[in-house]
Amino acid sequence: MTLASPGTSQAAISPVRATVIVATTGTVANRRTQGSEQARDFRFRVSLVHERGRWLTSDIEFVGDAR
Amino acid sequence: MSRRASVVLGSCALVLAAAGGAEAWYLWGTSSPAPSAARPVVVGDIDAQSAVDAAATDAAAIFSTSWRRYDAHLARVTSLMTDDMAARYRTTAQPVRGRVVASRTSTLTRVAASGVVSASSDEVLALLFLDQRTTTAGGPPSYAARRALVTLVRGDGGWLVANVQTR
Repeated sequence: MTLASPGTSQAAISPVRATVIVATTGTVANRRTQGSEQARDFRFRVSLVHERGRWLTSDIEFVGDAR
Repeated sequence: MSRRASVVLGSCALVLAAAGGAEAWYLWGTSSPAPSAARPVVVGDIDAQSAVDAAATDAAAIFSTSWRRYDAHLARVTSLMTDDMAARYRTTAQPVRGRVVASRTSTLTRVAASGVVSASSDEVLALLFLDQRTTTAGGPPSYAARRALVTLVRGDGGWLVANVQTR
């Protein structure tokens, strides 16, 4: 899987915690696609904590559509 | 008035003038900083959040359409936009009207998540995750998970949508 992130935005932030949402565009190639690269867009919500002087990812949540 | 008193009064006037000048420079002489890659948000959290909330509310309205009220929708949502954006939106929306009405298509959009990409005192870029539910001619609904980059600029009466990029 190859991903690029044309959109990243801060959804909530404090000195020790932050939530950002990330919109990615990319391609996927696997057995189901019979090895050919197919376009995929994903939406993620990423939680971060500030520890030892740097931001670390504490959770990644896929944001699907609400059907 | 003695010479000494004149010197003291003159000095006081000079100090007051300098203090006034410094205060004026502090209040009006500094322009707000521009967003950069290192610091994309140069306004406070509350200002940024209120702009993102406006972007979310406006985008949900812009992308929720009904074949029953298409013209009213067009009139309502273009009032949320800058003149330039409204003109571009009308140009795009008018040719679509016939297809929407003929196919009896309605789309309901809700914002699943939102955040600020960059913000200054007069322009904000917001990233929105949009969930769309579309029905055509009373058939079963279809769903789409989209994302939108919405640019807002500060107008006389509040934030106005200046650009929307969807995917």
